[in-house]
Amino acid sequence: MKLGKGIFLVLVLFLSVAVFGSTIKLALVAPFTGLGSILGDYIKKGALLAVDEINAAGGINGDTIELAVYDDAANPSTAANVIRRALFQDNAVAIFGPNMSSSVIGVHPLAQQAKTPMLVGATSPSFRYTVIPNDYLFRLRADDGVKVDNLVKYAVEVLGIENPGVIYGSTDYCLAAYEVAKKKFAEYGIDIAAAEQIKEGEKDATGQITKLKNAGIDGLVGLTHESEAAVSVNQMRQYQVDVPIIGFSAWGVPAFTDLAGDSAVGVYSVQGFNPIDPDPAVVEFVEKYEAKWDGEEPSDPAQAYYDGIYLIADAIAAVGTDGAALAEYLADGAEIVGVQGELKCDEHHNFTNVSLISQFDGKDWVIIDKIF
Amino acid sequence: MLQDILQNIISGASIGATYGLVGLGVVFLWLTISRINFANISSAMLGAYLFITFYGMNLGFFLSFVFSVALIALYGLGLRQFIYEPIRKRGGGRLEFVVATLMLCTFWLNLIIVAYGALPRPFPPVFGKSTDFVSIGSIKISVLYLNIYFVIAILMVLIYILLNKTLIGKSFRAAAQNREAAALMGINVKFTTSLSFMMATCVVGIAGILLAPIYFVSVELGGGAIGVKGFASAVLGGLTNPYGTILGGVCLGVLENFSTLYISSTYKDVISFSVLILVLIIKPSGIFNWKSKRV
Amino acid sequence: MKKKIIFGLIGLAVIFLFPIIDNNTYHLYLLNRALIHAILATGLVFLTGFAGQISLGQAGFYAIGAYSSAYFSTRLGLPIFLGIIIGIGISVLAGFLLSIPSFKLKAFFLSLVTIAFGQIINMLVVNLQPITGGPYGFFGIPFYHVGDYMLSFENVFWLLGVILLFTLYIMYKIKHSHYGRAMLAMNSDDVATETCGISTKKLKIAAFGFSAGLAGLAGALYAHLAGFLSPEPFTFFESSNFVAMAVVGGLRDMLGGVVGGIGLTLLPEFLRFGGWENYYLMVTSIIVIVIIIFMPKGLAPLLGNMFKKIFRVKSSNTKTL
Repeated sequence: MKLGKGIFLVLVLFLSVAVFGSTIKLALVAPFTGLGSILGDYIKKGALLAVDEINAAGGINGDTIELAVYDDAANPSTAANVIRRALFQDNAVAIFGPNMSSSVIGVHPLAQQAKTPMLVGATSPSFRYTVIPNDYLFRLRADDGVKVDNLVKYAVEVLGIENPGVIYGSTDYCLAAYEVAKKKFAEYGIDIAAAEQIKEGEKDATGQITKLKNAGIDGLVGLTHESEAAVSVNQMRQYQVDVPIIGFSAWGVPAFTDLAGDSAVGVYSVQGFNPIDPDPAVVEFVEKYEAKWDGEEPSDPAQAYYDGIYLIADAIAAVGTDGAALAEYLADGAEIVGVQGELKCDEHHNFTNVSLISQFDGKDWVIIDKIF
Repeated sequence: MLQDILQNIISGASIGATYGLVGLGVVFLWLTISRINFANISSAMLGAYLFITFYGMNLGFFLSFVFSVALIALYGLGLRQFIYEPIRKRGGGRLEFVVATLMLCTFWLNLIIVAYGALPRPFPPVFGKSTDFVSIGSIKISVLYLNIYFVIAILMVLIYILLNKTLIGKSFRAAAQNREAAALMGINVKFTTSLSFMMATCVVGIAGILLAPIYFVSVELGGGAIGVKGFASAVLGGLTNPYGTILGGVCLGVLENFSTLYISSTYKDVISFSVLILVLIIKPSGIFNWKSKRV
Repeated sequence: MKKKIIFGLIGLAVIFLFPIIDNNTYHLYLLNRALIHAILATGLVFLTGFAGQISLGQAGFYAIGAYSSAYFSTRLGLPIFLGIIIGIGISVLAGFLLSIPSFKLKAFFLSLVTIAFGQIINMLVVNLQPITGGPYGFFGIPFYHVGDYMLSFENVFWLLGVILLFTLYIMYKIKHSHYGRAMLAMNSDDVATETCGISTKKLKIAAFGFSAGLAGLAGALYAHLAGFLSPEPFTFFESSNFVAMAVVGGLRDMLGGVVGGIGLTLLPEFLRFGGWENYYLMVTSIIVIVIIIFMPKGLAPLLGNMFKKIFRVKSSNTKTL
């Protein structure tokens, strides 16, 4: 019995080597189940679009890309399972994701151990290369250090906010942004008048807004996820706290404006991506994405991982599939023009620092400024 | 200052009423079979998603509402037929039912994610827009909550009539006390059980449709904090008193807002859960359960 | 009964050889996590199957053990061994505390207290950022080592196996002692036990303490295996998974926790086929429901019977030979 099984296993192994010899296996780790699974779909669709385009154009030097998708349930503990699977069982050439900062900080040593590049869309500044020098870890989007800096800068210099209030969530995404905002406001010599927390899933912010109102804020900085953003803005309007509102990247997406409806009009946001951006690369990407996925509009993570696949394709075409060589090439030589503009690894191992300041007009996010 | 306090009482009571509505589902099931359906909150999510599906087919409010509630009732029957009865027949106890329904909760949550995606959706403004409000002096109440209060009032009257003026109430209580004896007394225990399953899922399904403008049509309706808070309200009502359940939910909501206002928005849930544990230890029969002796 | 234990031991011995056959990092990591869950689920089998109490807040103890051990070994530089002991200690104390409501409350009311307990612990993990790292996570927890020698995943597998066996041994001893019989009596009738002159309070304190200690031990073991912690694995969802492990394995069976813990850890991983990332959890939950409905006694007794059958066939074979 055992011998038979062993022979069978060996056969399967040989067969798979024979059949998949000409494919390049890439792994994508993103959330698809549970409450935190909002972004998984965008990530997968963005990455798949790029994979299909590259394969349709003949692959990388004739080899086709195979994208294996894994669910991490937005849970770092699950991410630690599936990253090991991708690296040590499925032997992926490169890993995309996880998309959650705490997951990235937890599992990045595995990429180093397996000498496999890991390209992530998580945005916390806490794993910049200058903080965590992992040669195999790269970021596909602007990090929050950049985005929140730009947000605060706009709030102070353009909107003239001197007594800011902050409403923030309880995930690492929100807290990291809050830390950066505190620091940046302090640089301007401004104290945050009141900072209130709204937990993910809360639907009443009356207490929080009462306190913000009583603190006499002249502007609200929103550092929450989409649903809580909608709750906060609705109730700001309901209790007639008429101050400018400027939100973080989760506020600059349809998921927020759909939920908030008219309340969202006039809200500012710092975005990593805007579907009405007239940049030809963005226009082309939006068209292709909508054509492939039944008219669905892409979002920030979709373009980031789309760019990421092209980056790794460029690197594999240049130096092959050896992990160490890939990482070295990504850090020094890789330079492509993607949806987010020019992509080149900087000292933080970020490929881009692009962000946009936009204002919602009831239908679209009107771009005020695009900062590279 | 006084205005702030009043405003926070009103909005806290409103969000708390939504907890109470969800808690009603727990009470209806407990009344007859003394079991807790941990997938109780899934009915709310299913109700909301079914409603927007029918509404999206241009069936109009009334038909969409009737169809979704009917399907949810059917689901309640299925729950009894395919989960509760098989477990009972094979000698499974309370914990088996608990775990089965917990898994059911995971199942529905992920089924909805597969079918509709995980992005929260806006609810059609059939109950008014979320920013519409009525002002009483300087206190503002969202129109959405007025609707909820209205429905709760109707439900309370219906429940009162059903439980006190008809035989159903008596058979509920009889079945809860002793299934065999109730059956011997000529009470159709099967029918009573089915009815309580259907009532439990229906009331939560209706709650889901009502709450969707506030919670959005999202998976949070099927796995978020509201489920646990619904249980908490039911416990405050001693698991048997529907009116106490609503009152329990309202108090929980007000407590939460005051915790935010006077202590900390960060620790508000810690505070409300601690109070819940204390209440359970001091008065396990529920503090809003004034009829507990009779039942 | 004794035979069953012997078979369990033989089975485990076979499993012990596994790392030599297959030393894939991913497989070993998963198996190690499975053993940790087996330890925790064994505690639940004890609490629920033997002592008749319910806990839907086991992730709370799991978190206490994990974060205590992580804190004491990482921030205060204590040896891992001591960190784990402290983690167990604090969990046991919390378990004693949580047993107090069980004096008065039964069934659902008790389960609600335990849910609330689990939620409170989870929120403390999120909010006590200076100690736990909050949502950012707790990083840099040392991996198992003896002096300068770093243990491999294989070594850890054996270590966890020994701990699990030791746990089972203690549980076996308790079950067949005076206290164990008293607990079983309490499980079927609280009041009658009390009238027999047995203090159910003490028994409940002990039962909660023991299962909390095992959950804390599991948490501490997990912390050093994973090397980092974050609040996500310590939620109500996880608590219900733990209870599902105990029920699927078999609440009345010594090996219920082992079977359920290992089975339900590996099942979703087996179901991770390509293109199934949306479905594997749905399928997992359906399988659990089906098992509960059709095998309310759990999988362990079933497996036990299968082993017995195989043994009988073999023994008759040897006779004829």
